[in-house]
Amino acid sequence: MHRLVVCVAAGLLIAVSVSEAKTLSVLLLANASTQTQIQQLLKEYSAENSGIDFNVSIVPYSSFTAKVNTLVAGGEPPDILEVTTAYIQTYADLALDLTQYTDRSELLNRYLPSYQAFIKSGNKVIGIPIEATINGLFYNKNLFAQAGITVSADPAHIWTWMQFKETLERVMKLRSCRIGVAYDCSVQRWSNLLYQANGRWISTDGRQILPDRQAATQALTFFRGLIEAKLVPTSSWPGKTDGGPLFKTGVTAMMWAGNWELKTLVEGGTLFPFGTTFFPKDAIRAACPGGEFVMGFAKSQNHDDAAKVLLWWAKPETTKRYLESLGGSLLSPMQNLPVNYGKYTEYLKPMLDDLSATPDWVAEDLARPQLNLLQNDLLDQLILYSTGRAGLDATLSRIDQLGSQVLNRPKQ
Amino acid sequence: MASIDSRATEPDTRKGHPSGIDGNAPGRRFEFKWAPYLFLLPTVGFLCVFSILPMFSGFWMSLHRVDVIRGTFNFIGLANYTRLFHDSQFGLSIFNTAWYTLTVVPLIVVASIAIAVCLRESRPARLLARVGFYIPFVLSPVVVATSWKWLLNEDLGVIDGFMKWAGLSTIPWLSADFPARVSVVLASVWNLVGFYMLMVLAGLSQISHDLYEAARIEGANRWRQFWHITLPLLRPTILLIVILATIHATQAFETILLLTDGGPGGATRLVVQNMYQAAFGRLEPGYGVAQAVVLMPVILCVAWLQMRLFKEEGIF
Repeated sequence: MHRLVVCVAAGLLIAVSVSEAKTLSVLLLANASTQTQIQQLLKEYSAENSGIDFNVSIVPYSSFTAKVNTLVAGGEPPDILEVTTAYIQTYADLALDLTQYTDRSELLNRYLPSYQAFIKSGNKVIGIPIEATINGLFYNKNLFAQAGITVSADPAHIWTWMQFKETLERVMKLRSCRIGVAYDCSVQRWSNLLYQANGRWISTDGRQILPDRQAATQALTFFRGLIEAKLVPTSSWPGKTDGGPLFKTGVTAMMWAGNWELKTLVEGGTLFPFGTTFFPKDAIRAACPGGEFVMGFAKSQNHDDAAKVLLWWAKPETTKRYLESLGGSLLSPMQNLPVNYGKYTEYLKPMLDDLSATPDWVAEDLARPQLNLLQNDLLDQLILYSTGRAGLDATLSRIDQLGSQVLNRPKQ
Repeated sequence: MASIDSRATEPDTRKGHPSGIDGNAPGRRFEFKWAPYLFLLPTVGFLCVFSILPMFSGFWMSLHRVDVIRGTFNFIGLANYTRLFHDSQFGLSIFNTAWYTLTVVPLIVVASIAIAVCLRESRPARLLARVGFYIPFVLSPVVVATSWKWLLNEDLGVIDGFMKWAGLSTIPWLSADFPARVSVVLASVWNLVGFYMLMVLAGLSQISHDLYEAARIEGANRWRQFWHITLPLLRPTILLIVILATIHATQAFETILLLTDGGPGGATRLVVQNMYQAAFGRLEPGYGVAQAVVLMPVILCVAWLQMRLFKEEGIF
């Protein structure tokens, strides 16, 4: 009889624990270098918190919006979503507000000002930055040595735009150099120039596109000059060949890309030594920050448990563990977090310096969801102008037209 | 005998009307046969759920400003349609689709016939060549696009490299409008020709050797045999290829997206990509669907033409 009571009690306990077990749906971006580590971290969370499990789905970047929008429209948003800078603000209205679970300012102050801009939406905090990226400049040390050019390691002596162009022209005179700068064909990569000219895409009141016409004109004409001088190869702009493979050939002087290229270059190896340096400056110094975030949805099935996971990830020790598990090629979005970047330390120094020199409003501008909606159309216009198929006035007026379609879209 | 005649003249409710209802038999009890309808039900149901309902809901959506994220619909009447007629990108994508279809389809027809005729005999080397031509069709669009992207790269590509070596001027394959359009057509034809070659081979196998034998005896050379025997007897196959290739061409998406992303500056952006960009890039599904609705009459015309040609050929 006694045994029977014990068995029934044990059975009930098991039944209760099984019924309390929750499976959180997680949607991750397909990224060979991070998806395994994120899943590993989620396993650690499950081990620490019994009764919480994760059902992870991985979506390619190309079908990301289609997948998320379908889930959201179907009333079944994922509990946790990995999202980039380009998309986080798109889902701001539906996002889980983390200030319901923790102190707003304490949470925000853990992060660099640039990353605060991405996760703030009114009074809400809508996500947790898990890694930071920054656009950066790479150079082939062999080619620069052959051209007799030394690259400054001092941020006080960085190139101006004109010096940058002249440097490229000097290296391009070498017979062994066939490509000046492999420049990724994207709006974000071009935006570095706009910000360096002290311009922005969208006015602070959100009503006008390219409010500072002079800055926009400077950035457009300088970039067109690089293409006309054949310093940026047409296979990059507008051919859309990624900078990484072009740079790896060893016949390319520089690459205008970002720190995410480091892993491939360092671990995959190059046949030549390479280094990184500061972005050139115009009116100001600036580089586009980026990165990835995790966020929840207010109407997801397990939003309270999702909030716990997100806040667990917002702990400095979790972020540090995650970044170090990646080998150190990605940056910390947290303030004063001593991360061991290992073999990437030297390469990341100029990029971290560029990031700290970048004004906070750059991230605010990049975080605007309207900019994301206009990406493809803006890229078309940048290509048409930079390749000489459209004039400056026509380009600016077309961008105005496209901008007004999105900026004046009535809120429903 | 008389009884047999009377049965023959008696109205038969099972045959008189396909529905089984004989309306010409006054006073008779209506007999409704459910079985044919039940058999049709799954197909009709599928068609309704996956084709007809989405078509109507798509049209309804095109009359609204849809916010996918918040799930709101705001009636705007024909605003999406009027905007369409002022949208130069849409016009360009129509032109690109027409150009692409009118070049890809004839090239596929000619190339698939030429290859199939050359590889008609079942010798080992030719069988191997058939496999070689078919392989691109089974490759994923990512592989096709990436391979062509590197072949056509202006700075490091094999084709321009060879042209430089031969002392010729290089071609900006993917960075100028016309060469990019040609590149997209080349990659698509290379990708699809193997599939259509197999269809032609199947068509060729139906032609009797006796006809060629007789023609040879009459003194017809290979060209005349091709022109007067092969080509006329391949007409149904060619027609099928034209129709299938046209469908393929109007639906072309992945390879072009990965090869040029519709660039440079929209020069290779087809209507399907334009719709995709409106619906998923700018999050304006109503506007994306409006493009599809405008294209519907064009597609209906092609379908009607297809039915007519099939009928004339006696294919059905």
